[in-house]
Amino acid sequence: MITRYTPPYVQDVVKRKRLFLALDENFHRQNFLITGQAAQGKSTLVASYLQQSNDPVLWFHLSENEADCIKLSDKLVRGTHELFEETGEGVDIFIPGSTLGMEKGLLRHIEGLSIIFQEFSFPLIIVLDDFESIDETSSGFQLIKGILNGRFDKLKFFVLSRNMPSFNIPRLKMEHNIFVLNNDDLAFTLDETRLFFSGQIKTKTIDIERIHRLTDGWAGGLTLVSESIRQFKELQNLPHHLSSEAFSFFSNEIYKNLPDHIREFLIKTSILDIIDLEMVSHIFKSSDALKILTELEKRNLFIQRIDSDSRCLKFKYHNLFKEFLLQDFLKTKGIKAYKVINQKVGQFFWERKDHEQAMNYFSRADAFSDMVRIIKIKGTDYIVKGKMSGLEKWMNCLPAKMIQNDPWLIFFSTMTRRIKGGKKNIRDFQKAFMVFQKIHDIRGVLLSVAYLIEAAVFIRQPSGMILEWIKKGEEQLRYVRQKNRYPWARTLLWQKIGLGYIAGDGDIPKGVSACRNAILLGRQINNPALVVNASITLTFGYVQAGDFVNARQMLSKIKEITKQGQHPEYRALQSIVDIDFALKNGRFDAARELLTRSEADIEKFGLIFLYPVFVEAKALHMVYTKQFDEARQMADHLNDFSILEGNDFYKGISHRIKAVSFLQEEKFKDAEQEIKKALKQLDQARKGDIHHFLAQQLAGMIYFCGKNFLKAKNMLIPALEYFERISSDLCYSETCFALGIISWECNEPQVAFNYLTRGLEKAFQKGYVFFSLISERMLIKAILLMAASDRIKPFEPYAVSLILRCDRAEIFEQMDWLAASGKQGQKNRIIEKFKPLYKGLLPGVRIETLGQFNVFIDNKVVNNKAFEGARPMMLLKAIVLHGSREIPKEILINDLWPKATAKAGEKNFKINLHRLRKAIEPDSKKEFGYAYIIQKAGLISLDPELVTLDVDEFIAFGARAMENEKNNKFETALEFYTKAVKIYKGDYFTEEPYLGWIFRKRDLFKARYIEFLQKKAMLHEELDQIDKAVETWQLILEAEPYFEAAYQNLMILYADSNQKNKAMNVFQECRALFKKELGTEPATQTRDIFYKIKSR
Amino acid sequence: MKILVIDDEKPTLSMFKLFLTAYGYDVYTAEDGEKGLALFNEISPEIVFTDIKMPGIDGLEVLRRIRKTGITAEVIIITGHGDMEKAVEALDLNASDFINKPVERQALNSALARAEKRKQMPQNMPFEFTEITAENMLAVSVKGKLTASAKESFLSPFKTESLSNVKEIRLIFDDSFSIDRSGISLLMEVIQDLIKREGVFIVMENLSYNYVRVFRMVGIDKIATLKEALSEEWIGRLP
Repeated sequence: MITRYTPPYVQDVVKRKRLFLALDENFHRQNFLITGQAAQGKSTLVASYLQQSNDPVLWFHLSENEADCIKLSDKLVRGTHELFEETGEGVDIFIPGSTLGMEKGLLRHIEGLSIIFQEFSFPLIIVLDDFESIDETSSGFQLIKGILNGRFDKLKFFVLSRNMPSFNIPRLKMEHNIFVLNNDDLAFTLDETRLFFSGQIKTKTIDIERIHRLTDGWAGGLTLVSESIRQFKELQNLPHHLSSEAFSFFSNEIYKNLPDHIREFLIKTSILDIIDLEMVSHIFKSSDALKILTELEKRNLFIQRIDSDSRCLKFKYHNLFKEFLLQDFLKTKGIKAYKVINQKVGQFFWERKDHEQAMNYFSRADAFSDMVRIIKIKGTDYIVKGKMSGLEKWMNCLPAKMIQNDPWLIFFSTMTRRIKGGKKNIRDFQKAFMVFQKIHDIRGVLLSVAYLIEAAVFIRQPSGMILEWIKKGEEQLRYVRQKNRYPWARTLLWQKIGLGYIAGDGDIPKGVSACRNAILLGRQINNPALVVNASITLTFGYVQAGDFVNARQMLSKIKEITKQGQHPEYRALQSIVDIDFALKNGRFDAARELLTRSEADIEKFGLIFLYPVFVEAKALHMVYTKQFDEARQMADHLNDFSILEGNDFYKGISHRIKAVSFLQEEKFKDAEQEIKKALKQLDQARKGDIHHFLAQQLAGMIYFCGKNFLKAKNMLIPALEYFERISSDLCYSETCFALGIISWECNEPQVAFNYLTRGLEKAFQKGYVFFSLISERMLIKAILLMAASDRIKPFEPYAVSLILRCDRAEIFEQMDWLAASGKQGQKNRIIEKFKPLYKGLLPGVRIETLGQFNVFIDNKVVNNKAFEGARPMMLLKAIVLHGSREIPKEILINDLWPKATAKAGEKNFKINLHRLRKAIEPDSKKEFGYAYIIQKAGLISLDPELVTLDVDEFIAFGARAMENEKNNKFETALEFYTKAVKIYKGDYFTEEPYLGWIFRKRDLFKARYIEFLQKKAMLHEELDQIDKAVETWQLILEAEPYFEAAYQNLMILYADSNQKNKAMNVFQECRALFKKELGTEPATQTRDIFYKIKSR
Repeated sequence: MKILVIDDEKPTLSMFKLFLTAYGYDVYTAEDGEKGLALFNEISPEIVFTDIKMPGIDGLEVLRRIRKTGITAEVIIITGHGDMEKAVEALDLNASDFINKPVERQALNSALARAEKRKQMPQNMPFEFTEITAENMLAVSVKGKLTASAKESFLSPFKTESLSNVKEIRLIFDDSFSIDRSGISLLMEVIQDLIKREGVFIVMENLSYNYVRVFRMVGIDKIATLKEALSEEWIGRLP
């Protein structure tokens, strides 16, 4: 399919082999910069080069209009969109405007385009022709510069420019990301010049060398000379030097010799950007247009065919030629004629419903009333589609006086500087609003009041003023709703009212409600852009209210509508919600990273409304990471923001942050002072309830720490009810814990256990591991109380995992205190109930028996000296050798002291068991007894939960490996085989070579080791992992040098990987070993393999 | 319009940048005086906000050096509480205005509005005044910079003979009005003398938000009525 982005059609051009070769050699690069003077053949070279490529090409003819980044971005997006329509790939092309911050168009567009380009699943070549039309100081130039600095797997960019653009070429070259062809590269060589003139009349008689010298290989010059030869049959009137500056002079020579009707045609059509045959014949009544144009094209005379669809052929004059013709037009026909034709062309396009083109020509014709007519019809479309740059272009063409008296023109003109216009916008939207109201133009009223609210919010007008406009907006909505008209304008107004309430007036519940209306209406009219904007505003409302549960839900809905990452607002909000989540889970490093990311987005895109929320999150991060002074400085900064904003709400948050920092620092008096201020500032009715109850919860905690239990309860009970109602689970758990401990202190054990159970149950369900407001002491106490009252069973592993994060000394201290506070006879029962927790707090012991005997506590090997002699260690070995479980002590006594009397044996056993236990458990608590080695009714056991044996792991891993292998999960099987063989560090009890009764076990483990290795090696072979297979077979030979299958496999593996000598050596080693040690030869099968390899 | 903000506290810079960008300005920031001056020379901003207390080159030095460059810019000094002496010193160095930390929105808006108006006016306007008489009242519209050197000129409308039947004097301050330390002393002296000598009631009108605060700090509010607004009766009557 041919589109306006199709490369220009080139024919019969000289194939520039050396340049094609250079481009081929550098085709792995992403960026190509082709620079050279006018008519140096840049477009022709690139178009003819890309003709060979199968990859789609988007060719953009740029003009000074695209100096605006938004316009340029629009153009690139439009081209990309058409391409997607063509390829049928559904990619969401949508660069969103600002919702919660400044426009920052350039950055948004660089980022938006980068995301679009990164998502390309097929190769694409983008050509930016006439790039010199874009001023270097313009945002359009910066946009391209930004894009070229990016990395896109599937894209290549060709930038064609008369000038060398001020890209950072050295850096791009250093990164191997650009290839440059300059004017000299493009200049025709003598050979190419010969090729250019080959086939021409009198070629033999013309002096090619002279032409080459005169033109310096300039393609435009060669074309002019060629044309001159064609017209005059010889070389005449050649200036001394031909360059683009001499173009006018020389082309005039040729041009004046053209027939009149052709000259007339050329100058008339020079006003056209694109020469569309249908239009030409309609306007100029020219019947031989096609003939003239194809003839010029054939002669390569500064014309390009840019659309070769036979139904609507389109051409474009070369800029240099067009300028030349236009000058002649103005000279011979005058400006009036110029305007008349432009108006005719504009009218033609308007009738053809191409209003963009129509406006283009009307603006050249100064046909302002035509332009206004179109703007009034199409202006809202530009706003709906967010293409403000298009609107701006036309508005800028109109005389200021014309705009001043028309409300729609005032409105559209103000829209072109939406947000960036600052205070001026309020004045102008207001002016438009007044006139709209006067003339009862409802749509105008709705739109102007909507943007008036937005402008007032953005430039931080007092909330009274914002509220006044909101009321006017609401009044209009009530009026319109009955008629059910203007759904787009109504949706927009609801969204702006939402923004006004949330960010301007601070009435979050009303803002949330307005945003919901906007979302509902937006869905009805199927306008995803409005739905996204309203959803983002709503999410912002939830974040402001501290309602992260709803904010998270909204974010996932937004993600469904638009692509993640395309909205800076989305990303920043998502980061803030994630920060909250990370802080609540005690993941402070993750929270810090997110804070950095969020700060970057807020600064980059000027997301002013999100800034205070970010500062709050940053301050809380500082509190939880114990940077209390810094946290309070941040809180002060939030207070500064509040003052500058003229909004007391953040003052309340600032006091709350200070209160929590003082609480964590155990400065309860200061904390109390701050929380009182916070409670006063956080108005429950206007800001929603969350902040109020969070402050109340914090106040309760502070009063509790100050031992004012009654006040604490009065604060916490309503907060708990609120948190339960809104499913704020972490706050609910924390408040339950606090109320549980308070009730316990107030001697209300049943109430206490009720709260604690509810709190622990919720925390367990949600898997919370960090409670920002609950001190370690309080958490330990809560868990121990639950354990002591036998209520912990359903959550025991979770409770152990929580308590394990706490300081052990503190836990034991509280255990002692709770046990001691029990009544007579209760102490032992309490101790018994604490035992599972106590055990959970002990470090694990691991005993290694495969290879050197070692005991590890908490992954650290126990020094032999700790055992105070060899006997305790021998006792442990005996316990392990007898299976570790329920061994009658007599057996152990008999093993270790076979000749001792029963009494002496018993005594020795006691002494050595005590030493052994002390070595493993040096800090055991008397009331809990020794935990690792249990003696019960004369039977000795190692506690299976606390002590692990390497042999058990070895067998377990091997079994899991075989199970996976059986199920064809080879990779997983290999992982388990690797783990198993890693455990085997030598023979079982290798230090006890003479204990005859363990031989059988020792052989068994070794056989399993060889078996696992063999299976592992064969799996490696199966998966073509030759090196690993070889390595594994060699390990087998290290453990079992007579394992003949290993030799056989090694020989085959070496031979198959073209290492015949190595294969032969393996056989020789095997043969020598067998002969020396066993006096035999390798088996027939081994020898056969050898001969087979030898004969290869 | 370009605005440069110089402050060593990063959060303050971020906050200013967000607010001023929302107001529609092109905002540049620098974390210390040295970087600020380099940026000033590079971008020639129309308005500069600089914190007064900074390590290295402080705000007053920044102001001094900016004035030395000869590039015209409205410099607004950001002061902390109790920096009155420094603020007056800044006025001596021809600072356009100053605002206190924490910055209130009204103070910021007022400073910006004043700076923008001053940008439209000719530089170094000499002190001048216009008298408007009404029944029992003398109104004096004041323009340009009031310093000790303008003493003679400033005293001329208040000679006893011209104040017969005058019960109230209104001083109406034009947007171009500025003052330095010696000007403040002169103003105090003149007002005190008028009250003592003539027993007249004095009202100062159309003062910028920040000048009201300066005059309050030096105690002028105890002897004269300070008004930010301009009375409606003068609209259209002032030169």
